[in-house]
This record gives sequence, C-alpha cells and structure tokens, in this order.
Amino acid sequence: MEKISETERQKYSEIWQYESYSEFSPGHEMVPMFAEISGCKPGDTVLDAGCGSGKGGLALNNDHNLDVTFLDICSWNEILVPEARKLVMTKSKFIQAPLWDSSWIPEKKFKYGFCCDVMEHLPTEYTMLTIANLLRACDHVFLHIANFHDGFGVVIGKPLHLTVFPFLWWKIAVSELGEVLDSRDLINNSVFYMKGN
Amino acid sequence: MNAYQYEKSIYVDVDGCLIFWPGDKPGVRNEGKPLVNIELVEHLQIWRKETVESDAQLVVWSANGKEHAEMAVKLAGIEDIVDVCLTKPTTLIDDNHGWIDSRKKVKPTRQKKDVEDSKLLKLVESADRKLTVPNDDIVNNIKHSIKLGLPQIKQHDPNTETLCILGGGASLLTTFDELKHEYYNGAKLVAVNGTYNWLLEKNMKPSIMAMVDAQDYTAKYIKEDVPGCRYLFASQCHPSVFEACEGRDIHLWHAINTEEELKIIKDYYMNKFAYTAGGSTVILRLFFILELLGFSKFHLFGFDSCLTDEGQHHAYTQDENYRDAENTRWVTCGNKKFLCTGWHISQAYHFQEVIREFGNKFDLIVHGEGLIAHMIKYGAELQVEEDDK
Repeated sequence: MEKISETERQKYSEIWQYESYSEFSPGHEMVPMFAEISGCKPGDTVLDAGCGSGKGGLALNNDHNLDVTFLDICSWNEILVPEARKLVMTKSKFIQAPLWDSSWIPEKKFKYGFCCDVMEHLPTEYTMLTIANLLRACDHVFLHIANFHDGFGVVIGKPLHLTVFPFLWWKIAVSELGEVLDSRDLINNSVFYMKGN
Repeated sequence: MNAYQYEKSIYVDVDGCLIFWPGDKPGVRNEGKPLVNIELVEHLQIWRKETVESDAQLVVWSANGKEHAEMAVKLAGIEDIVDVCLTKPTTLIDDNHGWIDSRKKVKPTRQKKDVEDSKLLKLVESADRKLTVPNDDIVNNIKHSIKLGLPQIKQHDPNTETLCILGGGASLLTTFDELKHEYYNGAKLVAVNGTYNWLLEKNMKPSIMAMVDAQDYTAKYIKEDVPGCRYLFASQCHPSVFEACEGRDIHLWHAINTEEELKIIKDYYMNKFAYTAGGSTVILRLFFILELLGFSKFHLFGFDSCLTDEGQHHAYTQDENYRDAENTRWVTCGNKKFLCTGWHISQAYHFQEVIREFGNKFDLIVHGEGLIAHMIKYGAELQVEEDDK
C-alpha cells in the first residue's frame, strides 16, 4: 500500500506543477450544489478530501464561512493556490495522507466530507476503502465523481482517471457502504450525498 | 463521442459557453479568472480532427468584441483549431428563420406566416392545448422523478442497429407479419404506452419502452417487468409509473414545455442534462431520444395518426381514447382522405415539421396505410377538409 501511495503522490506532485491543471476546479464548481443539498451553516466543519489546488475548500470558507480542513496526498505547499495556502497558514488545517489509509481519521468527526473529482483518480481497489473512511470520519459525505477518461494524463504519460464507471455503477457500489440521501446523474459526472456511519 | 460531429460550421459564443466567470450573477461580472469549458473544448478538438479534410469552419464570437473572443480562444488553448474570431452580430439579416441546435429543445420552426390563417394551424393549436395536463401536475411529477436518483439519457456513439418503433394505431394489426419479419431479422422493438403489453401478448420482447404522458393511468402499461428492457420515461411521467417500475432499468429524459420546468431541471442538475427536441407525442420525441442514443434506422409500425374509416383508433382496447371517435374530421393528404382526431392532426403536423427540419438525421420506413405512411410515401402535406366529418 505504501508503494502505491508513494507512486500516486509522485504522480500528482508532477501534474500539479502544470499551472493549467489547476485552472479548472470541479470542487469549486460543486460548492453551490453541496450547500444546497447539505444545508450547511457557518462554522460547520468540513473536510475537503483530496483538495488538490484547494479552490473548493477556499470557496467553502469564503462563500459559506465553513471551518475547512484540507487533505491531500501531496504536500500543501506544492499544490494549493496562494489564497488557500494563506488560509492554511492562518486558519485551516492541512492533512497530508492518502485517503485510503485510515491513519488520518481524527477522533472527532467532521460534520461534512466534501470530495470532488477524487474517486475516479484512485485505483479501483481503493475507492470503496476511501469512501468507507470518509463515512467513518464525517457525519455526511458529498461525492462528485467524473465518469469519463481524463485528457490531461498525456502530459505526464500516465492516465489520471483510473476508475471510470457510469453513474449506476457508482450508485450501486456506494449504496453498499452507507445510506445514500441524494444521488444525481449529471450526464458525465455523478453526485452522491451520503450519511456517515 | 463528439456531440458536434455532423456539424459543418460551428459558431461558439464566449462568455457562459467557451468560458465561465466564477460567481457571475445576472448582469454582474465577477472579476475573477475565467474557467474554460473543458468539455466543450474536448468536443471541438475531436470535431476538428474529424473535419480536418473538409472546409468546415470553427468561429468564435463574442458580443464583447473580437479581442475578447481572441482572449478566450487563447485561454482555452484552441488557437490551432479556430478559423476566425469575430464580434458577434447585433442584427442578422437572413431569409432563413434561424439556427437549429439539435441538442436543444426545438419548437416547430416553420414560419407561422405560411399557415397562420389556415384551419390546419388552428386545429393543431387547439389540439395541443387539449393535450396539456395541468402544469402544476407536470411540475409536481418532475420534482418527484428527478429526486429518485435515476440515470439520465445521454449521448452515445452512432450505431447501425435497426429499431422498430410501435405506435398503437390500428395498422399494427395489418402489418404484424412485416413486424415479425423485422424482429426475426434482428431489429429491436421499441414500445410506447399500450404497445408494451400488446407485444408481450404476442410473445415478443421490447428492448425499449418509452413514455411521456403525465397522467396516472399510464402505470397500467408497464405492470409486467421485462428483464433487459430499458425504460425511457420522461421526468414528467406520473409517480405511479416509477413506483410500478421500481428496480427496473429506468432512464430519465426531459420533455420540458415551460420555462418553469426548464428552471427546475436546470437547477437540479446544474444544467447537466440532455435537451431533447420533438413534439407533442411520445413517438415524435422518440426520434430525437433514440438519435441521441446513437440510433438512426427506424421502422415505424402503428404510427397512423388517424382512425380507420370505421373509427377504430387503436390496435387494442384503450379505454382512455374511446371518446376520440366522437370528435373527428376528415383531412386530405395528397389524394386520400383520413379520419382524424385533433391530436392526430397535431401529431401529423408536427411530424411534418420534424421531417422537414431533421429528416436527414433518420432513415425512416413507415409501415401501414395510415396518414403518416401516406405523407412519407407521397411526400404529401396535410389539408383540412372544409366540411367537418
């Protein structure tokens, strides 16, 4: 497991060096839908799981005044955009860990887990392990998953989307792990809002 | 799959299309950095690859000017595939009536001026109004179905499969041998409404079942489960339909007839849904739904859009239509007269519009001797008789 974690970390350290990779942030795009579904309130704790550039977590902080903790397999200073770095230095926490490794799960649960465009990047055998971890660590988990192959991996010669399945596959799979409170097929992306365990 | 592969020239708008400005509100431009619509860019890149040998043109234009369009093209990294950047026109003088986007809802686009005084159009409009279920009911149905977490229909690669689409018209009975011939030669069956049960009675298995009707009685059409059958239900279908089919392979599509319905669906899916064009009845909608799913070869059975001379409206008993025969009129198509209800006339009229605008997208064979078959066979148009009945 450690070897795969290191391989994945290196891959994303490399890809985040390309500025264009962080230009579009699915997490940032999904914040309004997360807020609508979750009914989150200022001060609620949220884990931006697989935060990447941190734009999603940043919007959760800026637009909804949530108490954001960032988590990613890469270190914060190599992936976060400047404003998110500032947030980490002044207010927010950052956890560096692979999501499928349960060592990062804190004793106190987060109210929400916010996990956008992460699942498709994981090796398939780690996806359910990761969701199970999130359901253990959070009262509610919001998942946004891309259902298409990536176009950016060619830049580093490795595919980025390792687990590409349609909405129904994900729906059946995540339903095995916990209660799905909301599920939406957004054509090329899937959204699931789940109750924590 | 490229959504634009059949387009010869594409004009792409900039703001809200090629790029998005995060946090924009109507009339207020956020000062942040724009985001590129990567999905659109990918489609355009594939389209360009496919059309590289042709004279196909890709134009990017913006109401904010040519420079703004050039900026967006640079940002999107598609300078190499764009032919020209332009300022968007404020006035367009053209003898044509507009652009058609086959992925968006298309209302009948024929210039009404041609027929605005005609009896035909009045009849069509009157029938369309009668077809409408109260909008509150439709809205409630939509709000219910979208929350069921069902997959939506989405674009698929074109395929060469032949589909037999079954309307419930009386000619189903007279063309049954032709249907069997297609079925046993590998064509897949697409049932709508009561033809689902009719097929099962004939020991034939539908591959697709489609419904658009928002009324509650339609649940009776789908009582029996057919493993392997895909159920394509409009989001406006009644909750009892979804309840009856729980656990089956249901896919949603959206008929969208009002701005209110559009807003509900757009908000819920963050604008991520397939627009389906079409008309007032499920078969008119099916052409576009099936085309989206990659099909283009259709045999139509029982799609008569008329009664028999004796007043028979369906190939099977359908109590909901028993009053149809009380309010009929004769219409002429070419040199033949057909006995029609209002909704038959409306359907035939809209069918003409569909064929006129999109006929090149489908390969259609219409079986039987009904009004639609006659229209196709003789290229004839509808005319309403001056004297009723």
